[in-house]
Amino acid sequence: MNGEKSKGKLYWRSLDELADKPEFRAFVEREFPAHASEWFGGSRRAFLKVMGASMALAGLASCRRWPEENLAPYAHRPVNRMDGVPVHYASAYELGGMGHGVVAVSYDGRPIKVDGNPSHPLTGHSGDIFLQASVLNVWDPDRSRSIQARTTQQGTEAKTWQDFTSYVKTRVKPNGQGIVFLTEASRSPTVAALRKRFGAAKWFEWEPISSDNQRAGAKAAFGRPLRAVPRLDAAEVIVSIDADLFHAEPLNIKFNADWAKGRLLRDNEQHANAKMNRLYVVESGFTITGSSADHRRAVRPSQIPGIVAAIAAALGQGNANVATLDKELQTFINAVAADVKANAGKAVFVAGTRQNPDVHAAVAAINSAINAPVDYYADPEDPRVESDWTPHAEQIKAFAQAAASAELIVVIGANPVLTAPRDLKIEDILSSHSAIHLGQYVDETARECLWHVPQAHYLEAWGDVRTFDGTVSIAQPLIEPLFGGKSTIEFLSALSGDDEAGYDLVRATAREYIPGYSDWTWKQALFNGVVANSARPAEKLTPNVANLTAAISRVATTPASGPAGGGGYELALHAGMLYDGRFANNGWLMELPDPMNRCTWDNPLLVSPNTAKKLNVDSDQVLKLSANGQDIEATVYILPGQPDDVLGLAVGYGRKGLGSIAHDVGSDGYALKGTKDGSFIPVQVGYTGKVNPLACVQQHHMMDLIPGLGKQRIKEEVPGLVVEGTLDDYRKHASMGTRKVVSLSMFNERSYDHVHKWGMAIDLTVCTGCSACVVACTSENNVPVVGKAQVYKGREMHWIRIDRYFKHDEENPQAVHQPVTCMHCENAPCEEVCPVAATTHSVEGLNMMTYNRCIGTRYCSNNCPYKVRRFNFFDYNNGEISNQYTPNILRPDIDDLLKMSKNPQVTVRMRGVMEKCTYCVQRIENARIKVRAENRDHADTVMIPEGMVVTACQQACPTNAIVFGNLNDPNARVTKLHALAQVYGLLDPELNTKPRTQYLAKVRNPASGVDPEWYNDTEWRSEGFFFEEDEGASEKESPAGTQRGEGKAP
Amino acid sequence: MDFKPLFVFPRWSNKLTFGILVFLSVFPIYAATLIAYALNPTTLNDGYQPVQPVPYSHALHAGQLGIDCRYCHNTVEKAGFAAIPPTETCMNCHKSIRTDSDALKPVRDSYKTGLPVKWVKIHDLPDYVYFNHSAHVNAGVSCVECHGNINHMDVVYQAKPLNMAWCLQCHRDPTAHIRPKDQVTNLDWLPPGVTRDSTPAEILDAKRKLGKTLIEQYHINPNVDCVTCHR
Repeated sequence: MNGEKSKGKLYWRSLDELADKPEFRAFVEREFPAHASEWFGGSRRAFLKVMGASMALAGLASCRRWPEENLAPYAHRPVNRMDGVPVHYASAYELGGMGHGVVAVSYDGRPIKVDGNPSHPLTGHSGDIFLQASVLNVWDPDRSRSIQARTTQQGTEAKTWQDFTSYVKTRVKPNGQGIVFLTEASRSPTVAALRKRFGAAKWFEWEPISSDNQRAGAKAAFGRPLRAVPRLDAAEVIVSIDADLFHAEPLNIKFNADWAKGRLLRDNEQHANAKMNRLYVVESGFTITGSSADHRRAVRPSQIPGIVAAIAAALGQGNANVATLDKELQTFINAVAADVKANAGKAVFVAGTRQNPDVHAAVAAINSAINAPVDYYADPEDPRVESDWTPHAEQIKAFAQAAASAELIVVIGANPVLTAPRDLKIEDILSSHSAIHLGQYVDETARECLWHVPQAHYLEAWGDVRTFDGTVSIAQPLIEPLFGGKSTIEFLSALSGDDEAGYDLVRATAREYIPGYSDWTWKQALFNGVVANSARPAEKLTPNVANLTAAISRVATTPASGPAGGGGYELALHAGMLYDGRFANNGWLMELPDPMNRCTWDNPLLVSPNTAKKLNVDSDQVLKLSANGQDIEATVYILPGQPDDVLGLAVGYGRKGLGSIAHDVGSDGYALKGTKDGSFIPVQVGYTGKVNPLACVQQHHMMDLIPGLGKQRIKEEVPGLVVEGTLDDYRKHASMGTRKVVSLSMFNERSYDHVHKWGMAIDLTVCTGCSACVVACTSENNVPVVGKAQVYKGREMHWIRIDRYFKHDEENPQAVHQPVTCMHCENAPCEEVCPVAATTHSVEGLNMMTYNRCIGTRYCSNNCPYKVRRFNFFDYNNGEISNQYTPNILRPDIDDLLKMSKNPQVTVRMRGVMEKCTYCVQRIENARIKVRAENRDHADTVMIPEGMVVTACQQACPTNAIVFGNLNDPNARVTKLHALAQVYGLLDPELNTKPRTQYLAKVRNPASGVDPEWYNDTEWRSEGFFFEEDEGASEKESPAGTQRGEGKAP
Repeated sequence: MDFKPLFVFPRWSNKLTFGILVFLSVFPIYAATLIAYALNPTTLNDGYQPVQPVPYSHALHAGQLGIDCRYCHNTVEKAGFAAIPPTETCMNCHKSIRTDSDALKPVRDSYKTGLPVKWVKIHDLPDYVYFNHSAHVNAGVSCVECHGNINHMDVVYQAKPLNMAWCLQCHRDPTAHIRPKDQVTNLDWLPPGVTRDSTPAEILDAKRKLGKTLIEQYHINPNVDCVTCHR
């Protein structure tokens, strides 16, 4: 690879493609990779037999009026209630003690969709994948359905709430004497108030993923365990120290939004003086933060303390006597330091949650020294008092000690048997004591406890939460608990012997946090979703210089370079698509491709190409990892950009018996973790000889015109798909080399000069690949979950996919994310080939898909250059995904609960029809009907105002990369974006499809002189592509306009 | 050797050949026509008149008593569904009128228990069709256009085929189906210049004439795109 380093921009999707392996060719050269071309192995005669039989069956099946349906109106209809009109309620939930404000959509009493609350300081209008997917957990049939008590060694018995409360009365002493609590993090004011009823009890908190190490660092640096909130929108230079800013960090939604604010070039009037922030990332994996970075270094987790010390030294902080780094890394650090110095007061360092407190302390010290835009907030609802505050890693150890002498153990929400270090033997502690568990699932911890009580979902119960700055949001239920679940506050009240209702408990504490409490202010707080003026001011810090210097010198003592920890490999656990495992039974998240490795239904062991060579393994092979006396098996996936000798593994997988989705998927990374392990686990690697084919979607739905013909081809094709350049390029040529070609057309071109002309713009500069749009679309549009076997065949159904392209060589690649959905081409190739006119064009330019007309020829999908059409090979919504090959009539129907999770405003598709992105046409039509009803006398000429139609993906996007609107409205944002010079349509110059979805070229902001191999591919700049000035000339040469990358500028 | 065939078709069977050929050529046409008629929405749905749990008479309430449609179906101007009234609406009057009627027992039970009266759905569109009442009522399309003269029906039945071709015929040319917006729930409304005794052709002409001006006045331009109804 290195020997023949290509001069141009080389993009590639996977190592198989780069190496042009025969298997890869075989996959893409099949006529229809995703489709069932060899579905029928038998003879023609057998085929005719089956066809005949199915015709006969089809005839019989349709010979009836559809079943009689009943209308069941309310006996007493609530005031202002309108059937069939979705109602929006503000609510809230906590994830790892961080409050998130949401707006939940209730359709005839059923919560079907959740989005961020625009007035909430953390979420804004958007949300991350967990927020979007959380609504599916309401409808999870595998949630715990009853209170259970262990009656024998193995057996449990269903009990009633009365049984439980009477048991509690016999066991709980006044003031909670003798109880040891272990809870998930909660910053609910009501929980804090209830805690006072258990004054004599011991209270411990445990979260496997938390910002506690950061707070421990703040304690070391400033003397108080404060939460650091970096203000990325105020920063010109952002340095991430192994922080996955855009995924699974507690503040990730805010980080996404704030980072993007500093990169919205599209809002600059003058491209010549455009400005944007710069992101440096030092990380021990390859995350979406790394792919969004302007400069990135992959390092081993054990190197990170040394790197922080070296940065401090380069900034003139701490003692300069740091261990030596290799030269390349030192040069990088010097460049970072120079940039930070040049942007004094506008540079900020952020360390990741898994870093140990020393690193966080040093980062806090550096931030303090450079006067970085970081706010610090206190946390009075924390059960731990500031004076003897310890982080979660210490709390779980203290729990294990305290529990030994406990009279009663109460576990609330947490799942320590899975997530705590295994050498603490939490399962033995719980099973040998009287333990009570409150949780949504009968999980690993519930199975060890004497009592299990189902926990209510946040959309089922009253509650309140606080977010990072103390803003309170009230969680209001949209539905009664489906399985009789109890919320944390109701459960605590019952433990204290009172058994009050959640509503009364919340209202009682609301008196204190709602200023000027009255019925009216309470209703206002419910309506707005945030309690006005409940935010706390940021703390004023008086840094103690001695503490800061000590913090830096502690990281300096760790060797920065040297062999990998323990002479073996370093295993770095990270939060993948399931957070810490609490979303393990959520089908949407399980089937969501990881934005970097693009695997679904598994947590592959990520290794670098060099490490794979060293270990002599290839993707899909299963390795055995051993550490701390435990073994697990994990499937290798070779991820370019992963640091050498570092193995990456997402947590929360490898569950047994939790539910039909989570059962036996992937490997349990927690099993290897011991109490002494910090940011990584030294592991030994062994071989198993097993193979586990991973369901990775990267090579499905490829857009290349002639796919799979090796490196040269990729080099020619892909740069037309992803247009990318530096800020300097953008300042010189706003067009960024995008190709805009006037073509001779073979279509009957239509004009769209009526009121509406819908269009979308996707800004690649701020797309981080966070995938919230994919989950939002799944939720809004009833996209089915198909299961691993079907994904493996390329049959995943997501209407929007996020393509990931690597760039440059495999040792030090860059990556780009590109969301691709139906382009709603004005000249749509799919429409030309449909034999039954099931896909046609609307007068507003939507490419419509009519399911009831589709006969499933799949011609449209084959003719779609963007590969965005999805075919229902099975009745995914009419039977369990585990037995799709059984005829419908013989397989059990899906649970009614899953049917209730569907959005009734979108058709649930059946087997044999094609589907694709509709631009959320149900939202367009609902808005149109509303606007027309309000303007009854000029119905067809009234324009739907900007902002009234927001697509699900646009709403979920935390960086506002997706903009949708009416192109006939000159003031619409999308119209302005489409007029920009850096806009381009995918494959438009080649095919003249006139896509309505246009992309804004990706702009990065490299520092001069750093990473020249990434940014100095001057061949492309000087001669390869066409800038605006050249356009006239190139058109003359080739009127059809199919120019390629090798063309010469005149 | 004496060869004796096992079976020989008798001579008269030759005459059958013609009959069989005729049958084979005609039967498929007959079968296809039969199936097409049997499955036609008109055959299946027109006049569908199920038995309801309460023998509620629209002819009495909406016709003789002249209660406006929107007294019970009160969401029709604001929502996609024209709400089936809650039991409370019935009890507004029937608390004091015919309080011991046997026919009204299910209504009184529902009011007491809070459980719904389960009416049988008559106008039942397929699940992939998204019909919106408010969009039509606000544009001057009367209830009668789709539901027929409900105010003369003792037991409601489906009066119109409600199939796609029927919907499209109005979406393509709504002139005969638009009336002044204040007459939408007046099911016996007639355009000016005609009386109940006029011929159907005269009434239609008068409707078209008025409809044409109303369409311009209201700026009505019905969509015929698939996504108007299929999402």
